[in-house]
Amino acid sequence: MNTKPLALIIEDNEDQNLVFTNALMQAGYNTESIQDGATAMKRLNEVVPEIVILDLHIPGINGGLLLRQIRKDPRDKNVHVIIVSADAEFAASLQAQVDLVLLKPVSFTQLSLLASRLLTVSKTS
Amino acid sequence: MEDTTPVQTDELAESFAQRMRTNQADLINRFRQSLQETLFTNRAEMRPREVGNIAAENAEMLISDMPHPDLGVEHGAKLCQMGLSVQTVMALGLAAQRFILATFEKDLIPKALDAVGVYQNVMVQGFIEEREKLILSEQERIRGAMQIAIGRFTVEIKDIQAMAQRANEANEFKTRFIARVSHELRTPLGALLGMSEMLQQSVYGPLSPAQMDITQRIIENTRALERVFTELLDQSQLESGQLRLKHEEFSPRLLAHTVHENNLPMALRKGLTMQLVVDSQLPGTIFGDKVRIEQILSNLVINAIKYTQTGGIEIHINQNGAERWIMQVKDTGIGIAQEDRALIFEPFRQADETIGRRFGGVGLGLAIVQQLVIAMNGRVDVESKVGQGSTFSVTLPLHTKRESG
Repeated sequence: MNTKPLALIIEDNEDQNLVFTNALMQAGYNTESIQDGATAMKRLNEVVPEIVILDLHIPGINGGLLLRQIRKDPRDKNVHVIIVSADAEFAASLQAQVDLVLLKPVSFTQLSLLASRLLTVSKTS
Repeated sequence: MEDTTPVQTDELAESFAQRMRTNQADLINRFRQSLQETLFTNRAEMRPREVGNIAAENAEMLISDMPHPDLGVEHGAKLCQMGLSVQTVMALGLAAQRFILATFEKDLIPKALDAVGVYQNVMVQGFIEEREKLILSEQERIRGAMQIAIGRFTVEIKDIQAMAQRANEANEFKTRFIARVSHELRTPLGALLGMSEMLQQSVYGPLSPAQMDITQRIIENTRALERVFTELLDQSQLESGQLRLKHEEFSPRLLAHTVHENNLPMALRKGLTMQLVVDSQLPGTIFGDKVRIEQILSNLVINAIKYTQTGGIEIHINQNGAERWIMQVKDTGIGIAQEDRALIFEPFRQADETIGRRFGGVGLGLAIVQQLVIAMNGRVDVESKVGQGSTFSVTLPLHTKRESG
């Protein structure tokens, strides 16, 4: 059975998380929404997602540390990461390590479109 | 204030004259003494006592004598015959001339001249001494006044420093506060925008045309709100000098198309046309802060739409010589009166205060444009006729290569 690729939505704001989750669902992913640092860390150890939508300010952990965790794990070397943040400075400092940086407010349409493009890229490569 | 008024030349002269009058008796005595010393030192000279007496008798007259060239004529011829040069005669006062003539004897003239010289020296010396005394007392007075002034000034400087310190702290607090607020507002704003878009995209089922219209309006208002926060944050960063410009490669053509595309719906809804013309000579990619340049053009276009009710907007992107390029935004809007030209670039100002209420916005768009353009070493020009429209031109340096530093 051809299962959909997994997207982890790490965003503590429930409403924002709902929007991102829907955008990724529309882009063709199976989604899992995570709202705190501990769960994020735990899930990143258990699964290899296709894409991570990462907010930088979440309770319990710094988004930069989570990113380092992803980049350090050899299984996760092909994981796409999109940073979604209101902190332009912090986000810019991590730009080189991720596929995309989107500054809040993030457009649902734009995020959905970009996420589906990354999926196409993954399939063809 | 009176303490520090400098002594005028007239006052100095009057004061000197006053002192001279007071000290005249003393001066006459000193003069007599000098004359006697000069005239009687050399015993070999003939009839020195006689000359001394004449000198002493004339002393009082000599002392009040001043060089008087006009009066020199009276005795001039005679003195010249006696071998004095015309200049010497001209330099002598009337009393001195009489005194020299009174010596009668030709061989005593040098002595008499010496005596006059001594008299003049005494006068000059007296003047110098008096003047020095005066200068010293004046210096003392000025020094005193300066010390008082410096004292007051130091206190004022300390006050000003304390005020500047407080202002700086307040300003830093304001910058942090705005950054924080803007940051905190972006998350709920993101949810608002995203959820409206979800409705629009029929994630929860199809919408009726009216629902679709309202949803579109929610999205646009959310974007307008976002722009306000962005502008407040930008203005605060520009003011505190925290804004850093990037140097990255980008396509000016693509940038102009993006701005045109993003704002076209807003123009069309107002029944305005919007045209974009890009110079084919312009390089495909250039270097600069893409986001900020897009913001500049976008602000100008949004402004043009805002202030235009009929007609349209033209965007022109041109190369200007080898080292510059220009982004021009022309509108057929309300125009800007000559006296308001400088005002429109001031933060939180709009040319007409009623405009803010009619057209919305916090009045930061053009202020940010101006500050960004200046930071990029460019310039903004405005041409406008009230009732006919405005043209904003932003001229920027053309960087075709990556520049270090």
